Amino acid sequence: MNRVGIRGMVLFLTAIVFIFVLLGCPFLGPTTISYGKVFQHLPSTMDNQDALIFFNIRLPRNFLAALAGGAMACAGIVFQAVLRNPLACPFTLGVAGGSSFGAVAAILLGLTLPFGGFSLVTVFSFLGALLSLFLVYSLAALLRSYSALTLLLAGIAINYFFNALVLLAYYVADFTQSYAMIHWMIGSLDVVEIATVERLSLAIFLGFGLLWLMSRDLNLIAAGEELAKAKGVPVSGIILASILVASLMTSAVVSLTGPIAFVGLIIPHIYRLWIGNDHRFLLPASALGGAAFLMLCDTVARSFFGPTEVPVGVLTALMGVPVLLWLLFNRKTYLQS
Amino acid sequence: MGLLGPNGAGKSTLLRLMAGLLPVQQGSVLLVGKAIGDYAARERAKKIAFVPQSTHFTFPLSVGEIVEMGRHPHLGRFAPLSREDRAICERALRLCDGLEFKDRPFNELSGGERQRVLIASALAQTPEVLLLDEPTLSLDLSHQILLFEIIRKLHREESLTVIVATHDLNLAGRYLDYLILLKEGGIAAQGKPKEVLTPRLIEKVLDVRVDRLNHRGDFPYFVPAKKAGRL
Repeated sequence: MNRVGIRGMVLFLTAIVFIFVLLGCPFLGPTTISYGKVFQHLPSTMDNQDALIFFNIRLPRNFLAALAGGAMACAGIVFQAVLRNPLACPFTLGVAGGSSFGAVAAILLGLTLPFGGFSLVTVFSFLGALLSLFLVYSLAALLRSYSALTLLLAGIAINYFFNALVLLAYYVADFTQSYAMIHWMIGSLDVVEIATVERLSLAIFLGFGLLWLMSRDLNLIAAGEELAKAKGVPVSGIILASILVASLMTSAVVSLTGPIAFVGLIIPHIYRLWIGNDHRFLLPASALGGAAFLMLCDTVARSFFGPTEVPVGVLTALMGVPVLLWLLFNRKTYLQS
Repeated sequence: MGLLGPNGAGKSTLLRLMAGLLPVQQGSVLLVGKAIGDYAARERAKKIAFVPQSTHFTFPLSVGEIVEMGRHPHLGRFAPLSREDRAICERALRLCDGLEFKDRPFNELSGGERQRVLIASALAQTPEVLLLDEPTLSLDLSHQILLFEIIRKLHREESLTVIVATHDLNLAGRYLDYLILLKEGGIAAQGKPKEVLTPRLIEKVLDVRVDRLNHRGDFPYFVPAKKAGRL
């Protein structure tokens, strides 16, 4: 089969898996619920416990997993393309450090009240992510250079800075607080309200659309800034715009889930291997694949470790490392250098 | 046309200014009577194409994909390549004698093959001006000749304006119509190869004494003399 045929096939199969996982996973979990009972009366009544679990708990959570996985995969692709670095991920510009700091600060200050439909931890974490982005861009502006290397180094510096503050907060926190902090920093998908998911989905879909519009430009930028410029891509504008969109998507997700590791690194690489590096196909395929992957991980995390559940961030990291090693051993055909 | 001069004379910088890749700080670069900075990026790329020194791609791409990138300024955001676009790409690759490796990964090609693919990608932009930055760097002798043959063919048959930055006096003298000698950011001499490539001017610009040999044809060849008083 030729390249184009494989590309279409992978995209199609990913879409099928995505739909199955999106609608199937909510039926799986520590409490068994029956398909028939869930859809017995619509709209369902309060005494239908299966329907309550399905519609109020599992479906929103599954949607959150889908949005988070898809957004992280897309953001990872954009960071890898723009920084021309196969090890870049959504957290490369320091978003994880900033949002962790925000969340940890909120926990330390005992701010657990809801605010505008979100918990204050979420709000603070989003502000922390924005702060880290602002600092990275300010550093780049100060150095008068928005090159990949400047942004990369500024991101690493800012991330270390915030991580130090997180450790400090962790050190002074009491036992309950530090447990809450660890729980947040591993990254987990907790029960969310459907309204929260709706708002997040608006942001993620908008962001994905914007990134997809830049697909062709990203193809050329990934090949080299000078080459892209010579072929008529407004390089600095596209770099700033795409990184900003990808970072905001990451911040929005991370403020709700914590920094879930590896999805934004592994999924893009798997799809680069399968369908190549054309972003017009790579972005939608990885979005669907990342969504399906995180939904599956979350289902495992909450089903197979009863009576408790494992934070999904642990699972993604445990599964991510073997995949990364596998890519490393296959680098003759893949990360050829 | 060729740009010659010692390292640091400003050959690459001048090429990049002409290609609109660097902002013009003093003076002006005019393309068809209009300042290069006044062109939108896409419009500029339709008129002028730049071939960088051989690149390495972080994410593997096939030769075909790289040539198709040349169509970028002509395409919409999602529009697939039309039959015409494909024909242009294929013709560009054929002109550069590269059709046989169309489906191979770029990073597996040899230096000479890579350079030809990058030129094909630039040709796919269907430009009026083609700029090449030291295209023969790291190529063996036969590939150097092949490259200059291609350049001459493009100029004669496609009536492209080709501007080459190069260190090779002999190839430049043999294949190019007009030469500019650069030194310390300024023009030291310009004109037809025969007028510019004289032992006196070369010594002045490149700081090395050369002997001129007349090879069979009527193009001059230069052999560097020993550098006196050094080492």
